[in-house]
Amino acid sequence: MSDTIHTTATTAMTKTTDTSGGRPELTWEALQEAARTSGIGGAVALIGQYGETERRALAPVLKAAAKDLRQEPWDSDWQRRAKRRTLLKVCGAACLGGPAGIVQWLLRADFRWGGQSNPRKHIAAALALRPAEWLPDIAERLAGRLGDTTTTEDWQVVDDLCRELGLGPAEGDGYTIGWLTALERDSANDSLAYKMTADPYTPVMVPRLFTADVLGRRIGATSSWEETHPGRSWPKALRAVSDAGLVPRGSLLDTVLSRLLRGGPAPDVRGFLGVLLALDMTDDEAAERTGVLLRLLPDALGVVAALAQAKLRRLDEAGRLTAEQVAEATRSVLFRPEKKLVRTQFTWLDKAVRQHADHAGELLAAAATVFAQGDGEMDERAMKSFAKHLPKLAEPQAMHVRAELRAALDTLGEPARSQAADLLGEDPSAMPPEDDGFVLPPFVPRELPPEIGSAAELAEEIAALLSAARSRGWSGADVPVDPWALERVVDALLRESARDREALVSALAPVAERYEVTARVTWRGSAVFETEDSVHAMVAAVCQEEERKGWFRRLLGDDGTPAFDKSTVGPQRALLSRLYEVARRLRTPHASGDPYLARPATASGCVDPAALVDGLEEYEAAGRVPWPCDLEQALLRLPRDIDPDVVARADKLGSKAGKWAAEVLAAGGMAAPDISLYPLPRPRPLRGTEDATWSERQYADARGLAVIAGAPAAFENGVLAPALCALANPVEANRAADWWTCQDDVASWALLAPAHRDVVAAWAVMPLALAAENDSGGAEILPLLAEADGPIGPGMRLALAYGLGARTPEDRAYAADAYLTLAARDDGTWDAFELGRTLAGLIHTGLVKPNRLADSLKQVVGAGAYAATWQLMTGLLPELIPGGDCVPAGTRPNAVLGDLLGLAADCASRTHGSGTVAGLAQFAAAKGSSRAVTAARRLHQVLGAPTA
Amino acid sequence: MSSSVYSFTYLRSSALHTGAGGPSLALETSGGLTSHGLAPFPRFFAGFLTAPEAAAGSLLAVADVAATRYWQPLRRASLDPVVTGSGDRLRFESFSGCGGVYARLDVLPAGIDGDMLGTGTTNVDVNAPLREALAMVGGSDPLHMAVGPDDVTVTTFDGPVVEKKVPLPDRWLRGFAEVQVIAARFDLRAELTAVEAVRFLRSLPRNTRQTLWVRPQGRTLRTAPGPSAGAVCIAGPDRLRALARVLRHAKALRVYGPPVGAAAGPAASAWEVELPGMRLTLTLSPDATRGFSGEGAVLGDLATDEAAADADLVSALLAWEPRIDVGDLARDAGLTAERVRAALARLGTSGRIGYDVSEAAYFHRELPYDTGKAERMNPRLRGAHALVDDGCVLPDGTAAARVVSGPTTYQVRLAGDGSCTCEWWAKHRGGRGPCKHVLAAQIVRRRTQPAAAAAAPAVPAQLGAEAEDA
Repeated sequence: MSDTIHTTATTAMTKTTDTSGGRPELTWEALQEAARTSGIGGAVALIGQYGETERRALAPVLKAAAKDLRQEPWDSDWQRRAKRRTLLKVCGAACLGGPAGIVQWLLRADFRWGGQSNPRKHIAAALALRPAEWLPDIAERLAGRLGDTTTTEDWQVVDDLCRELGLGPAEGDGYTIGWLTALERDSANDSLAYKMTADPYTPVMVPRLFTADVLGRRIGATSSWEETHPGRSWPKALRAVSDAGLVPRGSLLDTVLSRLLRGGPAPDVRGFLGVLLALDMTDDEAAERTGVLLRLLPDALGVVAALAQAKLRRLDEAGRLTAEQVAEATRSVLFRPEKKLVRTQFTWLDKAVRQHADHAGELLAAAATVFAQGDGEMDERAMKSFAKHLPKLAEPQAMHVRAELRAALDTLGEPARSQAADLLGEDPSAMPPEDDGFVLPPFVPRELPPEIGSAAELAEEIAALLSAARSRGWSGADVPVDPWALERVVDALLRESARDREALVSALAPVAERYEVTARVTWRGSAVFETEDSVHAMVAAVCQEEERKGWFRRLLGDDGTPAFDKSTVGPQRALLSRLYEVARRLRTPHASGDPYLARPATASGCVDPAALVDGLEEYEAAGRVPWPCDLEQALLRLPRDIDPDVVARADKLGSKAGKWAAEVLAAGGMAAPDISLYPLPRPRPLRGTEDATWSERQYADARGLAVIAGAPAAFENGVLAPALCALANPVEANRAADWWTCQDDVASWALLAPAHRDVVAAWAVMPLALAAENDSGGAEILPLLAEADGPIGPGMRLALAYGLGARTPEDRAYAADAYLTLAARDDGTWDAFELGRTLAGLIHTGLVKPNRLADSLKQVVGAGAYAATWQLMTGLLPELIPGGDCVPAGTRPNAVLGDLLGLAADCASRTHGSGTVAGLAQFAAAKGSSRAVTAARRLHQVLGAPTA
Repeated sequence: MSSSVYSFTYLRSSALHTGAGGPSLALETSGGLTSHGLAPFPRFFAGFLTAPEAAAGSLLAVADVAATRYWQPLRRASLDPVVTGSGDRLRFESFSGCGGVYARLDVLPAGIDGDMLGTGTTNVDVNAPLREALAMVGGSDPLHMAVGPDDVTVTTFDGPVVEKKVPLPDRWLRGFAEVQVIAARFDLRAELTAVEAVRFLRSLPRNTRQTLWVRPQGRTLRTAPGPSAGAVCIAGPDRLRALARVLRHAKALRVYGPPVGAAAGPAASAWEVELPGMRLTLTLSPDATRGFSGEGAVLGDLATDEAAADADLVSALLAWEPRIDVGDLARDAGLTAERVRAALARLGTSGRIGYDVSEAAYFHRELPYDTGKAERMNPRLRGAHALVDDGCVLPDGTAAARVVSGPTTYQVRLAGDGSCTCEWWAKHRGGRGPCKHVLAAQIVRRRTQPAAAAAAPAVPAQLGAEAEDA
């Protein structure tokens, strides 16, 4: 015997011809041979003829064979490999030592694709060859390793083992999931219930179906088959099984209810709820379980709470609930956000108060829970119940209810508050008014950002700009360029270049190398599109070596302006011309002493006129000509009021540029160009209707665009102003423009002409109009425009209107910020009435959706802009109310009209607004209690009430 | 990402027993550090809770956070909450599976009516039957609670012990510890009444990826388009749904956040709900898709060894106080207040200190995980040491350096917290702590110019500039 062992150990790796044991050695090749002739079963039978020690000796061979198999190159003979995998798996189960090793082997990922044969019988046979005391251990370990996604093969191995050994179902959620999957798969022909009845494990497994989370959604997924394949629906199957007595109904109900109580992700809970519905609890069973049903009410999913509420209500109607339980149910439900549940609860409460008359006070007091939600509509519903029942209550109970009402009085909103005061017998006007602290914060102008101090800091800022641009390029994300970051960089480049050029070059060189800066960035020919291109040009101008002379001139042409594609709009051209001129300036070293004229001195972007005149005087003294775009930008950035001393000084300038500057300064800056709305050639159909053609729907309706008449006379020869003021045909401009590329630069346009915000706004209307339908963005410019100066004309109004009705909440938040800034500045330039008219026009043509507008207005009213919003409403409402200026009387009002009227009522009551709204009185007098009509009545009441 | 498997043993499963005197909640503890040293099943409290329904709801909220992954929610997490007995109060802490939400329930002296029997920190077992039982707690009948088994049960119990093996990633451990140090920079931004709080929280969108900014306005919070002074960032507003259970008992909601400027990136925020006799605080990470561990809050500090000795000294003086007084500690240790704060921050990253935003003070608790190892394994710190060891740092005067990393050279400025021209810094601009180039330059500067380094503060500017006086 010992010889044989010794021999097998040493010759394990070699093909043997030694027959000293009297029968052939157990080798891997022998097994393969047996498998070839009589299938895997033959191989197992072969192993069965040998003892434990020989089998163990084969283990290292098998492991090596598995490793070789894994490393074999892929070829088309995958079937052979699959068969070998299966063979290895089975033989390993029969040969390896120790339960842990066997389990590890069986679960190896290498053996997963075993072809079409299911080796479960063979594995079972192989395991049967092992020592009997290992088998329960193997079953337990395997079951412990089952997860959500293990293959059914593994589960079947466990299952077969358990049933074979009579162990009972294995522990663990993995086994449960596998059991459920196996039943589902096998029930193609028979029903689930039938299969379950045939399985002896069912009574133990059914309660376990409710432990693992993912099973809920699997159970729920089958309920959609109830019509077509009723046998495959789990809820029905469970019902059938409990009816047949396999699982006691009472304990199943308890299990389902406590699972619903535990909560969890919504799809799972809905699945389990399906089971509860299929079980169809009777009233008696519900009466035994009122405790659980009551605890489902506060926190469970809405549908579950609805079911519990319905069952409890039935019990109460049958007289099986105490008043305390009804009060507890009321308290639980009335805090929930679902309005339907709350309304049902109130209906129940009204009946219960009559039914449990001697505890009516307790029940009514429980109704005060709804005030903690702060929902005006529900508050009013509660007041209806209070008004109905409180007067009828006997004294000690009524006192308790009154105490609750009084405690809640401070938090109530308007109509509920006066109703509560009436009920309590107090005088509503004697109460202190609602103090919500909603005061519009005063306008605090932004501070000028600090200038960049050193070349190293400049290198970092440029690195930040370029890295943001690069990530934008890769991901296409909307990261708008911060206009002030750009201005600071330009300012610092010019200053550092004058101060110490070598230091600047050495600081920027690593950045330039890192971001592969070239003056020609675009692959779209020689045109330039974005400010990112100009930053590249500026850095290249500083850093590029001397031997590449002339290429800059080739890029910019002889007159130094870059080429533009026809899709680049006016302000973008102005901005880029100016930035490329800075690049040219950085390139010319002998120009480094020139003063930078367009340097912003205030946070809104205006220059200091005195500094401008100083600069011009310096140019004259040195005999040089100022850079044209620089000078023009400085003149466009002049503030509204200019000191007469400065004007006098400017008159003394002699050069051509100086004279021009003097002329503009004397006129007080650029004359405001004429801005108007684009005239409508014919009435356009409503967007979205069949009449509107695709292109009409694609581009903003012409009524929603502004026209700029052209640059004023003083600026006709310039570069920037003609580009900025040439918007004669906005529809064409909009169609030609490529907003995708330049939308990140839109915010930078605000610094082009800070004292003429309407001009910039007229251009910004176009991307904003797109933002009303898509996620285009461009709304970041609105707060900057609100802080700039200049009259608020059609351009600003349209821009604000589109912003308030934008699609994404972020864009609306920008517009709300701009609105609040304008309201807080309150310098008389803003007429919110006109904004209201504009909004009404846009709503009628369908360009702005009223629910988005209502959301923005809620925000600004919440921040305290009552007076401005009331003015806006006086312009907006007459055109929306049926019977007003536009909409014929009798049409169904817009669904959002109720919200808008409610907001108007809030504003009017807080500002003691007066004035009439056309058509309001008629509309308010209409019959019906829809939200629009109730709100209209409230507004009418507020307007008609005498001012305090 | 590496993780270690931790094994927790409980005497039996936590359960709600119904006895003669009413329902009794028995929470089981596992082994942990107490004031008497390491104990296998320490006992912290036995007594009554004065607001049972609120307490049960809050415990469930804490357990829900521990069991949830808010990001990639299909992979389940199941981690037990940590309980700390602090002498006069109990604290239950949990950290979500994705590492983005930290929840803490403080049961204050007003909320308990019984004896605190010990101080220390352990895990507490929460299982499915316990959750169902806690959801059944209602009404106003007093609820008895015992945290930890009593001696009799320990000696006579002979059923099978409950053992849980949990793999905890290093990132998770680092985040659990780091959130304390991040919270130390928070200030109170807004306070809402119960009604306003309910209205505001129910008006939040359900989108898990969105980052919202809100500003206090009047009595409530209003959405702002972007960061500005006084604004609070809510990343992944859906993560606040853990508060839904306790809202009906809430008396007030307080919001905390770090100081934010106009160009700041997303930031963390803390939301505290005041309950009768208790406080439930939820701290959210700056981004719904990542947890807290990438914040680099004290990396600059860890790069030195000075604070290690201070931290050891300070830790020896701690005695499970619910509220650590920096002045007293400075006096006892013989250090300045600033060094004590640096030491506390370092202890925080080792998981030995927690921060209570509402009290604006640290408290002593020792997490039952080995976070010290995680701290030393911080990848950025390792990268910085690798750079220094390879000699890639070339100082350029006292306030600047060039770091050669691969083919590119970065310029590092060491003024203030340091800044760099690398792409990572350009993206985050210091919002996530120093990059490895800045750290390497700081390490080299400390080694070559100890005089200059001693003049510069060892603690990042934000932490040192707190207005507390010593």
